[in-house]
Amino acid sequence: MTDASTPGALEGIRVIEIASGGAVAYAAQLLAQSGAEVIRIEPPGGDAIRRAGPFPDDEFTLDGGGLHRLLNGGKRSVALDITSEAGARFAGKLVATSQLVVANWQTPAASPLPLADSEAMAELFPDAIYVSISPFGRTGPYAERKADSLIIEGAAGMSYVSGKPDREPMASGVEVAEYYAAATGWIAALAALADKEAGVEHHFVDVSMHEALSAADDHNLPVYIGTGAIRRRYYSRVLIIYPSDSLPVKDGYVAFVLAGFDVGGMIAELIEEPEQATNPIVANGQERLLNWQEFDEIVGPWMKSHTKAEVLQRSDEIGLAFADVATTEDLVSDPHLAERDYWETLPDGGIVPGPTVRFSETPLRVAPPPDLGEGTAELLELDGPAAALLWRGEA
Amino acid sequence: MRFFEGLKVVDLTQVWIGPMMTRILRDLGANVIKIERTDTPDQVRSGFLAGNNASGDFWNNRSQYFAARNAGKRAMQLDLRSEQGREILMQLLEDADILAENFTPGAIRRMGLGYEDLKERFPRLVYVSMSGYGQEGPLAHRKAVGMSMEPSAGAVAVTGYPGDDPLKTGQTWVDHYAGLQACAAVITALIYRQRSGRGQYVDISMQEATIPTLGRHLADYLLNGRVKVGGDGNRRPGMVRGAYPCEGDDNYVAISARDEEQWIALCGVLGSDEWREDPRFASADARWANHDALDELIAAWTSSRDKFEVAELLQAAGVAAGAVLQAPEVLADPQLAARGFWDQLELTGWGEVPVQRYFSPHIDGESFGARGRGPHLGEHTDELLRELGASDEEIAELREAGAVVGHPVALDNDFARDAVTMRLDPYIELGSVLRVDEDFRERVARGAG
Repeated sequence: MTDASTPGALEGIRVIEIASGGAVAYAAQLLAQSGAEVIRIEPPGGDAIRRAGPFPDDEFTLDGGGLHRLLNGGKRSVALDITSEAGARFAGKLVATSQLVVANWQTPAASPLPLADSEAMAELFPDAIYVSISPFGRTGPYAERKADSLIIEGAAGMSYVSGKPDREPMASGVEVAEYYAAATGWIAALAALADKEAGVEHHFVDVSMHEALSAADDHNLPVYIGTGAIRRRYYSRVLIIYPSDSLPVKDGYVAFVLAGFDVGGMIAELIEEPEQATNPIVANGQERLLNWQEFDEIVGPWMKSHTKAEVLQRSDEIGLAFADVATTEDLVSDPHLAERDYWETLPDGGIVPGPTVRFSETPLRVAPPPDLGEGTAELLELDGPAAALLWRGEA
Repeated sequence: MRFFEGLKVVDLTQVWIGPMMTRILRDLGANVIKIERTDTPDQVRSGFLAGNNASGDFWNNRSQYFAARNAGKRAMQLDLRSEQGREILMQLLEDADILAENFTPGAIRRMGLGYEDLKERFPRLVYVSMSGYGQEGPLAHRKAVGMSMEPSAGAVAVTGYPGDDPLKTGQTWVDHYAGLQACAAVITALIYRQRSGRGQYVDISMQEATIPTLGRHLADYLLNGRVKVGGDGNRRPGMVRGAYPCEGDDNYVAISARDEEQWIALCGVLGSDEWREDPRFASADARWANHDALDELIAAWTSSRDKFEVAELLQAAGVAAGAVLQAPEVLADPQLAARGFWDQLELTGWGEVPVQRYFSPHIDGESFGARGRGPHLGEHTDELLRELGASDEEIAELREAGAVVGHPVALDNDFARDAVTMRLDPYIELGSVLRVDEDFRERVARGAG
């Protein structure tokens, strides 16, 4: 684990997370990594993250699930049913001691804790900044709608340009909208905390997953706004650049990404066929793009007769921006990441990703996730039996 | 946002990750000074020009792509390879709070402007470097752009249609995602500085920032050693999830029924309670095993219907659903419009165009739009030099010496040339453009107005 002797930038700040999905959990974990004390209030039976796979050896466990390990590191856990009066009251006591609450205002609608009513939250907890991360935000005609990353990728214009031309639009294999919302929520929480340091109080921060991903438009909007052309999926390629995707090599795939000025010369050097440097189908951008099958026939055989390592070594020498289409296994055994000490080993011997950003003075700390309800008695200052009653919803 | 008012950002970044990060700081109130080389401007100035650039001017705020990343900043051109240019940079840094750069690792150190070179003189400075693979390590010097980072962070290997080869998404998203992380890191460092008085160095590797998004795929390898090559398309284990054809030109609706309750609701809306009786769909596992058959049934129902109506019907029944939007539909989206997501910014010689907000959250009802249009190349060079106390004569001398202004190189790189001379007809023939709207300017004005 990371060295705990260095200062945390957010030491002394208490954050309450009301368990409500991946984006909220990841944003809270990022705050915990900077030294904030994050207390996660979870339903007594465990939340969806604890219940989602994958599990070790595919055996269900509340405390050892894969997503739980990736999203809840370094937090404390309080098990409470916030849809009950007593649970909401105890949750409120914790919130009252905090500087920041992270939740999705939609979850759970039935709680006496008024998560859907930001003004009531501000009145109850005047000193806490309430950061809500929800699919569409708290206002507007879609506020009540449900959505996951698939729906948001569609709404943001990303799906329509992803996939093959003769197939349906395709979502990313990672829940990209959730992570965009988490990172945006992280910034918003920090901005509100920074303002607090400047003496300005904020009460409600409304983060929309939809807006977070829509902001990330690459070239769909400029192309339409500037020319009226509606970009459509075509093997997910950049409209004006080929190659901009992956090509097969002997032992996998390599991302064929161009760089530099003399593209024709660089590609000819790569495939060891100098005469191709002036072939328009190699050297000219639009020719390459429109006649891509011919281009593939020129470079394909060389690519397929070399391994990833050989191709990448050569592209590095030439100065192209090729990249490994890395599998999880490749990443965990990657010498570059190993030299940077990226992967962290938790006390139980398991591996998790290390800090996503690196600070010279206040390095992020990676820590194991809490067992369900491990902090209930201590943090609520209850004795064991009282905590158990609360846990069972009988308090 | 009082905290950010008066913060000064010296911004040496270009293209995407850096400029998007500093634009957020600008929108929150910081004073951002965009510094470009005297020979080569930020290459995205010429990217996807409005009107395919009939004017011959590639550099002066002609592109929505550039405006989105640089709105509201002040721009100056500086030759950092010259002694005078570096001296001006030092003067700018005297009262600066943040220095941001995304050169290839090592380049800025070779100019004598690395963190180690500056930290003694500017102990309060927050210095952030952004790169593909980080500043150190065997791959630090590998060339990297967003397109190479989606694969090298592992996201491409787990994306693609079921049973097919890996395929990236059509939207290069790692730059922006890592840029959000960089922004959070900078604010974290500023909070620490507020408390300790000390600046620090921040190293952003796009690869490292992105790896945790692999989520369940990463967990399955770390816990069970299973390696995923190729994606699940729109599907997810345990769910009924897909994009289904609707009426009209290439229209789809995305549907995501996450659990038993939503599955039952889905059956209710599609009027097919017999699906619930069908042994092929009797459990989440059965539906997963027979997803192809289920998709055919759902598509048969959706294909004669309007995508927006299907989404509305399903949402009313509590099922997550939404239309898959094409670019003009994104601009016309009622939710984004109601939230004030678009700012109208002037493009030179073109008029106002909608530009998305990079800091989208609303705080106590307040939202944070662009503080101005995209700057022209070197637009604020003289103004900024005057702020440093330079006289008209001194400015003229600096210009004469080439330290502050130069002549942009011709469009001799592939990306810039293709972006400028984009002929659209071949793309329609190829299939990468659905159609070209003749009345797009009215549609844009109406849509995001």
